Amino acid sequence: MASQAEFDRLLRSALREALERETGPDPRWTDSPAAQRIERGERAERGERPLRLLAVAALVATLATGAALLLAGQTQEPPPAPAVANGWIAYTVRQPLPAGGEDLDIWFSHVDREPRRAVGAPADTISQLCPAFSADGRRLAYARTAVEGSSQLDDGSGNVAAYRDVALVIADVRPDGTVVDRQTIELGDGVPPPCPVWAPGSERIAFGLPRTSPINPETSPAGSEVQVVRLADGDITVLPDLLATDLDWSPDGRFLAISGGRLAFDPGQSLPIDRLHLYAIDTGALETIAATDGPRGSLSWAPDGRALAYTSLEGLRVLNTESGEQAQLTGPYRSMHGIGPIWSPDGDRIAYQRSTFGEHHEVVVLEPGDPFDDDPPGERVHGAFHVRGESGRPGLEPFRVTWSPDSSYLLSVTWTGSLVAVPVKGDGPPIVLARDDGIVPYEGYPNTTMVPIQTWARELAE
Amino acid sequence: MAFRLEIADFGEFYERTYEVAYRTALGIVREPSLAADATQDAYVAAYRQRATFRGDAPPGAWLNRIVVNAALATLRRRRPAQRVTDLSPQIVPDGAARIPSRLALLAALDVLPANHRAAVVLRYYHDYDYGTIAQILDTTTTNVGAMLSRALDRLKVVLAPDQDDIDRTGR
Repeated sequence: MASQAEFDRLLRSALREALERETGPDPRWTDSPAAQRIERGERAERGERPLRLLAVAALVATLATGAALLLAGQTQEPPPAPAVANGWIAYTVRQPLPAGGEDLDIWFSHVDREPRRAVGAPADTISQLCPAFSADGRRLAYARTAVEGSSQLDDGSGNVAAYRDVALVIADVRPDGTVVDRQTIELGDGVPPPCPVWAPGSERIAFGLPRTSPINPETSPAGSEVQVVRLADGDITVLPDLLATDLDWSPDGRFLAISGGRLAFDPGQSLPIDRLHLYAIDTGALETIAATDGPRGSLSWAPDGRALAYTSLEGLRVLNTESGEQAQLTGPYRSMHGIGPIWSPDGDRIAYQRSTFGEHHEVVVLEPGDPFDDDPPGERVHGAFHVRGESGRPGLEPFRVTWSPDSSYLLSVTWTGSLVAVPVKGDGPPIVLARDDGIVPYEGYPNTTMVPIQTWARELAE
Repeated sequence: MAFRLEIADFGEFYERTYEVAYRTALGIVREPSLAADATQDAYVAAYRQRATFRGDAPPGAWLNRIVVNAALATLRRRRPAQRVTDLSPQIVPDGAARIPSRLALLAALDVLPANHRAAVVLRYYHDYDYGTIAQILDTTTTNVGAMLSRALDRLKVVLAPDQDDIDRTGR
């Protein structure tokens, strides 16, 4: 009988014999696909640099009799941007604690790397959650909190009193995925952990602090806030009494669009203040956009700054930010989970999520083209999907989707706790980046802000 | 530093290291065409990361880390979304080992999870110690030991003689 040492020797000999017989394709560098790809990449990097949009806007509020808000100004067509590569992905993972309660930490994954813990420590009493990469991928903002007793962060009970030492943390991200905390903004006790939304240019972060829960809706948003933090000095601007369900910055960073009100499953439950709002950074003015009544939670600014898409009671709608004109992209649909619209970074597509039956839902990808075209196409839908699990059962349904930086994938944490990237371009299979590892689809309850629960950065240059 | 000079001429570095890189990828992905793709991906990544090569380790280990990551990524892109099948510990017959044929060994590698295959290739093809393997796989030496132990148990089960053979030869 062979001993372990003998088996090792045999295995080593057989493996070497097996592999040494293989030589692979002709290894000449100049003929290799790698050399050609590198050459193409270097040619692209030597191309024009993108210029910031020079949108000069004057905010004009009109009477609320149906007239739309007008953003007047001029925009310049940006030159083609260099190719974007997909980098690190950050998401939240839950670990139950022996004494009850839970610990949440932030993990990183990557198409070319195994998942690993990036922020936090195993089984400690400090939770880190709701990560968001800055536009350049070099910084990560996230929420930090301790939870009193055995309370859980996302039990939907709205038990904000259990949160202690809540803070917004801004960290540097190195190309190897190392995260180094640089700035902490203390928010105190008894507030829900903030889910940050970076402004383009990375000078500001916005987040919502609701005081009510969509599960047990109150009739007043009183006490809720939107906070805008200027990172250079930590100055915080508070926009009071706005029960924000979604926030999105204009591409030039000069405006913060806010979907205000309460996520209303029943149109009859809409609050009087359910509207879209625009906060102007330069002037501090907060204006309500009339004729946008009954927004149902989500909004998304087009990458060229010319349009703002949002969910209305009649389906997806888009607002022309220059003329004030509005157009309908879809008919009415029901949505219990997920978000939308989300405009792809390249501006070509819009993704949103809608219910199929019960709580199950799918992701729909639209190609909006020119939404204000007088002769719109008959069909804008690019495709719809939900990722199936074993035996064809819809076991991997997406929670909230995020576009990859290169607009080729939609990323989501699924109901079973897997992290999946589904290709939108081409016919490739979904990529499972992490599976059943305690990934928590933290929806921010009682934080109603419908930000994505995972974030995908562009690849960092060395 | 002297080691940095080894990759200063990246084309020469590629031609010198390609075959070993390809064989490493092949041991993990198991299909020649996939191995070729993964190897090209690895060299593109190595080129982009060449500034990170500090010269404090042989360039082979530095490159193998990139090759392993590229091979595992290639498998993830190929794998349809489905639950992983956990390889439960198998009952290993005592001393169950015979000289595995090349084909039997290659077939046996297929039953291992990709990261276990990577550990086997790094240990038994490259002769790396547990510490180096842990660095390459971005894990702990304890995990490396556990992966290799489970992998070898699995290989022994797959390569073990069947009961008839034992009855015929065991007397």
